[in-house]
Amino acid sequence: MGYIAARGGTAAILNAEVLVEHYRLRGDTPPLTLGQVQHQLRHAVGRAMHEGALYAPQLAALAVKQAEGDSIEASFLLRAYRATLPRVMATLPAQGRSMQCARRISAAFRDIPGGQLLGPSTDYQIRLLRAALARECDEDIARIATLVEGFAATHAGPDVGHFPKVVDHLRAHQMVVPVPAAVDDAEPFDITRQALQFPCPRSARLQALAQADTGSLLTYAYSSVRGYGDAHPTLAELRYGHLPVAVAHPVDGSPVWIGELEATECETVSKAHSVRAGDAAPRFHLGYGFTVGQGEVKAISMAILDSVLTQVRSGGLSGESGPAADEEFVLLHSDGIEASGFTAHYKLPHYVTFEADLQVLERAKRHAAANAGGRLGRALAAAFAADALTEGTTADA
Amino acid sequence: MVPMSTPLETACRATFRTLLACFARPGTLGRLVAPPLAAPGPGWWTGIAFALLDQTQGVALAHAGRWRSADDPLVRWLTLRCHARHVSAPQAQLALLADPACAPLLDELPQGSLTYPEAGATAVVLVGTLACPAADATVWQLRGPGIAAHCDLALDAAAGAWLAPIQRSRAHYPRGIDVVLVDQDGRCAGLPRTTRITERGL
Repeated sequence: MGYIAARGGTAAILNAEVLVEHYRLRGDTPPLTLGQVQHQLRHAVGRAMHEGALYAPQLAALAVKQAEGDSIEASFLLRAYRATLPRVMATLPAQGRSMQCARRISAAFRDIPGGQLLGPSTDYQIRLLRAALARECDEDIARIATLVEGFAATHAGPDVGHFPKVVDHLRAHQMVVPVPAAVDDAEPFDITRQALQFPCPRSARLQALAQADTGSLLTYAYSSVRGYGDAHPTLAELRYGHLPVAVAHPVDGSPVWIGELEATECETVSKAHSVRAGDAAPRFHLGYGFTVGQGEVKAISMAILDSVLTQVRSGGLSGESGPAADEEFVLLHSDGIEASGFTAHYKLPHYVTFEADLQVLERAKRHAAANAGGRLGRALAAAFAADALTEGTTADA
Repeated sequence: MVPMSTPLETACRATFRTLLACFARPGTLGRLVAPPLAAPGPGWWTGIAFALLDQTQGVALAHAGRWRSADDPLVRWLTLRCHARHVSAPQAQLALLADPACAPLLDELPQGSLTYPEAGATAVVLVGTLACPAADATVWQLRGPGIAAHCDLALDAAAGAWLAPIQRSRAHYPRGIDVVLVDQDGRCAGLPRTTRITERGL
């Protein structure tokens, strides 16, 4: 039996692309508008953006539609598009405390400075299918709009949505590690231009985590808190809202507001170790998570992993640290686009490499037979030799 | 409506595509798309700058045998709009050289290293014409990857000054400089460092 490398197939590939379109449209339903996708599937759009590492809600809606809802494919489309864009300029550092919050909670204290704002959340919703959604109509939209207008009327004011940071409060009371006295003001590591090398700077770690696959981060973080690690995070603060973004004016350097990002920011504190070696006073460690869109699970997972990896670096973990404490393992295997690309490439023809595998298998069989000894081994060796002779004759013919 | 691209971005994409084709087939003449803006420098040249430059790139410009300074009006115009950094020649990723008097300046551009040959600069060189019918034209015979056997490139006589510096820049391949020739009519030709060039008369 022989294998050869395949050639051609262009027509089949083109037909396959037509069939993909057919399968997307064969339900005989009206085409999805990008507005519907952007506003009614906002978590899918947000996920495409944070995993694609490009903030572009309309393009993300297009990607989600083109990918038929496949989150990794949608983020792949966005990241590929990003690679074609020129880098105009870097923004000035954005401060989470300047966020116009639509939601802001803390699991550390009930009465945090500024108070808690539950905002849009399904956290306290019973997970039952709402059959009424199947019959949703314009009246339903109007009813919800009226209710929200009522909320807005009772919570109006210039300061609504602006809150101090819980971590500032914790720092003021010496509860968490302070900001390093000598902040490294070098340019942040750019993971789109330089390959990750380990140990990597925290800027590289945070970039890699921010564009990682949500499921991967969730898995690693979950393993660490469930028992394969030493993480016991407390959610100091989770905020979701609109974050203003500014750049330096290219001529006079003054900050210029250019827009805002819909974003989620999370800070966790880990447990303190009173017996940790060193002369520093015991403090909570801090973990930081950030995503565009409302990606709360990802932001929390990222904060947990950031905290774990920071503690590993400082020797602050006790007991078994688990797989989530291996920075190289976590960062190199959490990018959904890279991981799915590597896995999906096995669908492509491997005829030549498999032919080599078959030859190795045949040699291994002959070797095993030759080493078996006795009458049976000699008989097997003779049989393989006869097979080889037959194959050679056939091939020659 | 999804904001996919502005007219300038469309022109940049077409320019990039043309340059890509010219580098893949050295000696083949491409036609550049005029950028939809009023530029103080040569238009085709500026289009290439907009297609290749962004914040991550360092650029150097030369005119009349000298590198332009950071406060030169053309440098300020270009770096402000392309968001590129003006750098000295040894740090330039892209160099724009305007006339044959600048030919010796090619020696100052980075050629990369054996470890990082991609760090070699790309030089955009403005010549009189790339389709010279005149009897006194300079004809370069090109060989190398992307060329079936060999092909000829007929340039104006003054452009002959570029040959020696280009040849010197690729003497230590894979180190070297990739060159784009652009003429006054928007024709362009790619001379990647893999292309071997010899001169012959018509």
